[in-house]
Parts: sequence; structure tokens; C-alpha cells
Amino acid sequence: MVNTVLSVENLETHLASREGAIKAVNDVSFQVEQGETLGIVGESGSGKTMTALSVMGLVPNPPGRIVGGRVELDGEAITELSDKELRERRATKMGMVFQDPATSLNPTMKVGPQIAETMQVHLGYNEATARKRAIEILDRVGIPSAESRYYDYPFQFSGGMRQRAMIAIAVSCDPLLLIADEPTTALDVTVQAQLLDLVRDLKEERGTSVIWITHDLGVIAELCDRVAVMYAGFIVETAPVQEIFENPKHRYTSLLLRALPSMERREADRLESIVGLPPHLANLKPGCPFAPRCDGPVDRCTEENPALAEMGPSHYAACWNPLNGNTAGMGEES
Amino acid sequence: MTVTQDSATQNGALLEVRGLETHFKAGTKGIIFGIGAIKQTVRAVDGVNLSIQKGETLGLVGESGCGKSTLGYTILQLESATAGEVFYDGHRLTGLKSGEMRPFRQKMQIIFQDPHAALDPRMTIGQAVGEPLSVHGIVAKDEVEDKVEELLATVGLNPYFKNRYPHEFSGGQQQRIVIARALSVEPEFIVCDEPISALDVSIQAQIINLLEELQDQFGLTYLFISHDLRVVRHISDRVAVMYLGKVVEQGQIDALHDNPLHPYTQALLSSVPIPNPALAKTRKRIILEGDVPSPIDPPSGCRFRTRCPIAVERCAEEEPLFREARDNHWVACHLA
Repeated sequence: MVNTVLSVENLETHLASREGAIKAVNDVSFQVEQGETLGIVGESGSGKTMTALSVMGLVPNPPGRIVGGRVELDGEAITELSDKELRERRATKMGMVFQDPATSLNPTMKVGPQIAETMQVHLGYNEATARKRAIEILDRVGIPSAESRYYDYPFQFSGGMRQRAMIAIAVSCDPLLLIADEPTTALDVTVQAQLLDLVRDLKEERGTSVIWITHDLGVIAELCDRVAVMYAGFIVETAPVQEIFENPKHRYTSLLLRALPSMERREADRLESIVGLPPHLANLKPGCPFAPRCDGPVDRCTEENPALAEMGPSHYAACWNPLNGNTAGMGEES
Repeated sequence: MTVTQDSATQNGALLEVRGLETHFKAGTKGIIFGIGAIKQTVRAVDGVNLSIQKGETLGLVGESGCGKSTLGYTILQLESATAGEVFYDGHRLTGLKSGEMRPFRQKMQIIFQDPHAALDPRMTIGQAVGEPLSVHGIVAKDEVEDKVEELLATVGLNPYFKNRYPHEFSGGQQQRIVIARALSVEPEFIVCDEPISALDVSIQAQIINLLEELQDQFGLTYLFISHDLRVVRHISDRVAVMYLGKVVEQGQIDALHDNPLHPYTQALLSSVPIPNPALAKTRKRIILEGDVPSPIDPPSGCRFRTRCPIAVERCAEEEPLFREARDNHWVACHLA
């Protein structure tokens, strides 16, 4: 049966600032099943990175703090663990890959030993075993002549290779869940394609669950099984990947999709753009956070923030006036 | 090789680039005491031919480090060419002294990737947009204020905000300010160097639309540099693909997309993630191996051969000519 690897319930993460608490993550709930890839998509400041940091127990404190909710990894409440226990879980149950591989790797330490170190500390390997295993992993993630590159410093690696090395560290202890925060954003498209391929293969080999955070809907389409769309710290829509692209219910999702230039043809027309700017998270007004930029607001939108409601099988959207797609949704309001 | 002014204007191109090379002296490698150092050269732009017609948008794509920005800067004489020529409206720009270049600076403008870095944080946006007006004497002193307000309105900003500072604006708004400043001198040609890469998707669309509207309104000609092939597809009439300092393919946007001739263009196009899950999982993708080689020591023959899936022996020995393989569709590949 499906095995839930990660369960997040009503997560609230705030950041202290001079203007008051910035509500970076608001009432966020989601699950990740075993072997599933969940894509979290949103613009800058939508709370996707803070959500990931909350899950990993890495919210910088101060100014950040998880003020509510529960995160359960493999049946264990992360939010209640001590720092030491957390550190251990982060290695053996969660692997992490961040956007900038140059700042994630230790510049004064050779690449190979950085991978081996993780296994020595967390899996109790001796130096020789860890080295052997690290070379295998480097080879697996596609570093050419892994054995000699083992003793290279990070600066001797290209951006794509550094990110491969980060992936190697992340998967070295065979985690249940891989959390990747915009890992390909700093890379060129041809290198991005290589990495997407690698992650797809690794996932299949090991049955790892993945949370993939990105602003690129194209990457979501290539890689993910399910998508959560974030706006102003809220998940505003979540659905299977096909459904999001073919039958978006939330008006933000739909506008985001329509704002993308098409690769298949050249439109003579202007692109559809979303007017205005995202709201400031320190003083969210009552009502739907997207209402001021929405193309179909109703009176209720400025009064009350909609909760996620079921729009179809495994399809939830938080909208008072959802779009009517072609496939009939259940319990649709209009 | 001398080119007369006449031959440069004959084909009606506003901008013409011939055999352009921009090389930089790089640091030294392998300093051996007593022997000295091995001097290195970064061949950022290494023999580029281009022409841009009036009112046209030429997209320039390629991966980081391929020389596309350096090409843009060299066209504007912000970097000096080590060889080759740039003609603007029949006038040769390469070799001009900075004073002689000045009238052209007014006609040729640039929009950079990071608007935050392109604006002086201590100048109000009104001052930023107004300064070029006074420098080039576009309008009389007492009309500068009015003109600034008009320019801000043109790019979709409220003129009321002219006394505010750049940090009070979002990234998208800052880019609008930079565009207003570029427009202030009434240019004909604008190099857009990754103008939307730093912006969010919903804001990107606003800026692309603005650039297109301004082009219609003022008859502007763009060189649009980007690594985002989706955006280039949307905005360009023609596109040039660069790899390691050379243009490897050039053609009408539709022809190039529907029928890419160079294996690099084919791989580049197939690497772009498409926002369509059904298509994404079934389409054939060409995954290139490895990274772009260093422009300090590019491969012999065809520069793409080290990553090319179809390379043959000849590719290492002989550099392919840039030739017209189809009507107006140019490619540098032995096998295309």
C-alpha cells in the first residue's frame, strides 16, 4: 500500500521583522508518498523555500520560527526532535540539494572526502569503505573519471559537476526523501536536462521520494507526479501534474500558465501578464491574497480567505470563483 | 580587407558585424619560477558575422560563457574588438575615438540583466531618467521634468513616483525605470542583455509585452540576448545561436525552431523543459554530455565536436564554414 513518507499539517512559519511578523508559510498541509515527486512551484517570496527549510528543521532562528503545525517524517514528528536527533535524521532520512552548489560545498575541502565524511559520521563506515562508496556514488551521478576527481577541490568542478556532487552527498546515506530547492536554476538548459535525467533515474533505482522546488513550470512538467502551487505563503492549488496543466482551477495557476511563452509556436499576440505585485507578507489583508491581481474576483474574495476545497479527484484549490475546466470537477462552486 | 561604406549599407541592414573578434588577456597559468608564465587568451567572441535589419528583433541565444553578452558589448563599443568590424547605419564604429562614438551612443542603448545594479541607488528615478536628456541635450532644461514624466508614463509607471529612489521599487518596476532611461535619448537600436532573467514569470510577461509595445510605437530594433529559448521564440524575428564564441546557426525564428540544422541547436531546443506533462514524457530528448569547453583553449576544428552526438573525424580536422544551407538559414556544420 502507499506509504506516506512525509506529512505536513497546518505548518506556520513566521520571520520576525521591524514591520512585524512576516508570515512566510501559512497553514500549509501536504503529504509525500513513497516514490512520489512533489513539485512546489511559486514566485520569489511565495514561501516555497521557507516550507522546505521548515521540513528540514533548518529555519534560521532568529529571525525565523515555526509557530504552528506538525511535520512528520516517516512517522516521527520532526518538530519535536532535539538538534542532535534532527542532524542525524537530516542525513539518513532526508537529503538536501540547494540552488547554489558553489556555496553549499566546503571550498577548502576536497570533493570526495566531503561525500565520504557524511557516510563515516552517519553510517559508521571506516575511511576506506567510505572512500570506495563515495567513488561509486560520484561515478553514478556522472562525474567522469570519478576516482581521480575524488581529490579535486570544488573550484575545479564546473557548476553542473558541483551540483552532481551535491546530489551525491544528498543520496549517499540513501535517504527516504530528497529535497531539492531550485537545484537547476543557476545552470544552463543542457546541463539542467542532464540533471533532471539523473534525478529521474536515481528516483527509479532507489524508490526515493522527492520534493522539487522551482519557479519553472516546464521543469515541473518534466519531473513531477503532483504539484503544489504556492502564493503568498499559502498552497493555493494542488493536483496531479497532468491535471494542473490541463485543468487548472485556481486563477493564479491559470494565469501563470498563460504567462509562459510557448515553445511550439510563435504567437503574434502579447503574452498574458498578471497585473500588479505579490502582497507584502507582513501585513496580509483579510480575504484571498491573490484577489487584487485576480482576473475573476467576486465580493467574497476580499472578505474571507478561501480554504482548499476539493475540485476533483486529488485536486484541491483555494478559490471562491474557480475556473470551470473541461473535465467536470466534483463539488465545484462558481 | 577594406569595406566601403556603400557595400555595408547595400543590403539595408541597420547593423552589420563582420568577422568580429573580442579576445581578453586572461590570468597566467602554470607560473614556473625562472621560466616565466604561460600567457592565456580568452577567445570570448571569435569571428562573428551578423546583420540586423531596421525594426527587427534578432534573438541571440547560447549558454553561459558562450560570448553572447561580450558580443553585445562589443557591438556597442563598450568592449573594444581585437579584430573585425561593426557598421551602424553604414558607419564604421570599430576604431572610433570615444568622442566620435558619442553621437552613436545616443542611437544605441542597452538594457542590462540586473536593474538593481544598473541604477544609481543615490539618484531618484526622475534624476536617473532625466540625466541622459541633459547630457545629450534632447530637450531644453525647463522641459526635462515634463519629458521625464512622459517617459515614466510610457513604460507604465506613475510619474508621481519620480522623486523616489530605486530601492522603493520592485525588480519589475526597476527594469521599467531602466527601460525609460534607455528610451530617453530616443534610440533606434537597443541591446537587451537578458532583460528579464532576474524577474519572476508573471513579471517577465509584463516586461516582454512592454518591450514589444515600445518597438511598435517607436520602430525600435532589438538585439535580444537571452538563454531562455521560450522567450526568444516569442519575441524574435530571427535568431542566432552561439557556441564558444561563434555563431553556429542563424535563421528565421520559425525555420530554426521547426527545422534546426545544427546538432547543438537541436540539443538546445530539446533541453528546454516544456510545460506540458503529456508531451514532456513522450518526446525525444537529446541530452548532451559534459560541459562547455573553456574558451581559452577551444577544441580544434568544429568547437562543438567534443559534445556532438554525430561528430566524425573531419570535425576535428577542419573548421566548418558558416554557409547558407537553406534560404536565409545559415549553419556551420559539416554534416548539416
